[in-house]
Amino acid sequence: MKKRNAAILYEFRVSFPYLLLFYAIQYGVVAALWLLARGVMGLSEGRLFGTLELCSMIFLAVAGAQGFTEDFKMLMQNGVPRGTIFLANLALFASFSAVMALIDTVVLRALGQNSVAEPLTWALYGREFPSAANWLWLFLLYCSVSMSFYAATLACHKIGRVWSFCAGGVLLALLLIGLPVTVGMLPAEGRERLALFFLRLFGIPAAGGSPLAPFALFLGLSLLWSACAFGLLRRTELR
Amino acid sequence: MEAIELKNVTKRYGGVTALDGVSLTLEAGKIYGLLGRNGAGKSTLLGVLSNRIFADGGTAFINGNPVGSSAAQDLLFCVGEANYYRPACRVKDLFFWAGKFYAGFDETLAEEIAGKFRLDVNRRFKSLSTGYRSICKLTLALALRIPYLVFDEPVLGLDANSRELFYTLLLGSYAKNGGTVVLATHLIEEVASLLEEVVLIDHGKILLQRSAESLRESGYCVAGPEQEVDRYCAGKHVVGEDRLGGLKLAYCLGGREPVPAGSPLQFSQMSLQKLFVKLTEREAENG
Repeated sequence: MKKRNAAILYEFRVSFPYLLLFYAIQYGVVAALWLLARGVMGLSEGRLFGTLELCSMIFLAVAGAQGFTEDFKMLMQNGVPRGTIFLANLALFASFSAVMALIDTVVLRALGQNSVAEPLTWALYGREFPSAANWLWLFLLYCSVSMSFYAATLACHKIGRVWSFCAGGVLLALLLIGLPVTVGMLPAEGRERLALFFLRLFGIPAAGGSPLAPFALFLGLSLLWSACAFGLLRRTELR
Repeated sequence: MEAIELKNVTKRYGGVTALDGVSLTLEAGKIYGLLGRNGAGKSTLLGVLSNRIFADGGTAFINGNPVGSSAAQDLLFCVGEANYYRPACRVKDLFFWAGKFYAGFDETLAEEIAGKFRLDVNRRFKSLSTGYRSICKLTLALALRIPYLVFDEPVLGLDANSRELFYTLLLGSYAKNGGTVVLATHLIEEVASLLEEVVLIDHGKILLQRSAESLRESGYCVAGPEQEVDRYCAGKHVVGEDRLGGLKLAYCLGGREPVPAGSPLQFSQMSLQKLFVKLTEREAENG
């Protein structure tokens, strides 16, 4: 119990200052650009910022990777069992995701009302998308992003640096070359079906998607990555 | 049973067998010296004990708790060569966190020990020199009351004064609080006086486990003309030989037989380091 509480406290005390720093920088830049655009350049129309949530996702991806590289070593040195380390990381990522989803929901919707920024959910589902659903949508998305990078970092550690670079190269080639080529080779009808599938997967109303689909998708991905991360962490050696 | 027990522990790295069916019992309340050459398997053995690496086969227990269980991990603290502490943390923060993770950590004592080593607790771990990083890790271990303290090359990069201070503090802590200490090191002569029991490991196998006192008492060197030495050594446990001009030196383990007055044979006590060198040399020749 002592180790579990200490591990969770450690994760929070060490990592939360970075969250504050991230938002201070992000909204500092937003404010500066807004002043520049509206005050100096005299632009008065159009939204200045779209998909600021992407910055949060990048931050969470880094936090997810960092969760393994430094914290794992420190916690192992202090005799924390691997299962407890996983719990502490999970608690951190879930808390980060919840707080960031809340900030992004409140701030971006407020900025959206003033035509400064556009929340991602408005772009996808329209302005009627409820605030609570917005928070839950972002929370599950952020959880899946942080857990995916946490699991990926563990996998890289497991297979070693050389194989990680090879795997990364293959993945990049598949995404940048393989995927477009494959999609391009599909007949027009096939491409339409594929597009429809993804639109429905994200619950886009115009494509007839279920509003629950994205929640189920992100929840499923979060659980899948968590299970992968736990499986990998249980067999991860400290070298 | 209050002991560390390893049964048939095996660990391989690719084609290299780091631990080859190691079975070992380290009883509570002693200072052990885990001695071995580079690549003998010392660090791997300690890595398995501290749950940092996994054995491919066999079992390991600490006071009956399987290694890896939280009960086992609460009983053992390992100070290794590698630095696993968060580099950006200040030394005093590391003390603070050790206090959070271990009920038996004494922050005041840690500050006191740091003062003796002249370790600046306000400095970040990453900004410390190699020697002071070792001192920081040793300070954390010395301020911790835990049944098993395991050190892997603990005095890496330390000057003679700091090494001496560490040995003094370790002995003081052991005398006051008891517990079990395992020291894996190359500096055999330096730690020889501290050790109560010696475990010698080579090529992933335990070559010898005996009390340091009995080794010191039973290990001796006999020197003299070759024929005389050979005659004396017949039927004895000879662990190694050297030749020096016309003289032969034989290193024996066991009881010393009296020799008649006027015998050209000369006897001297064999140091732990010499015993270690001879035993591992012989293994290398055999293996």
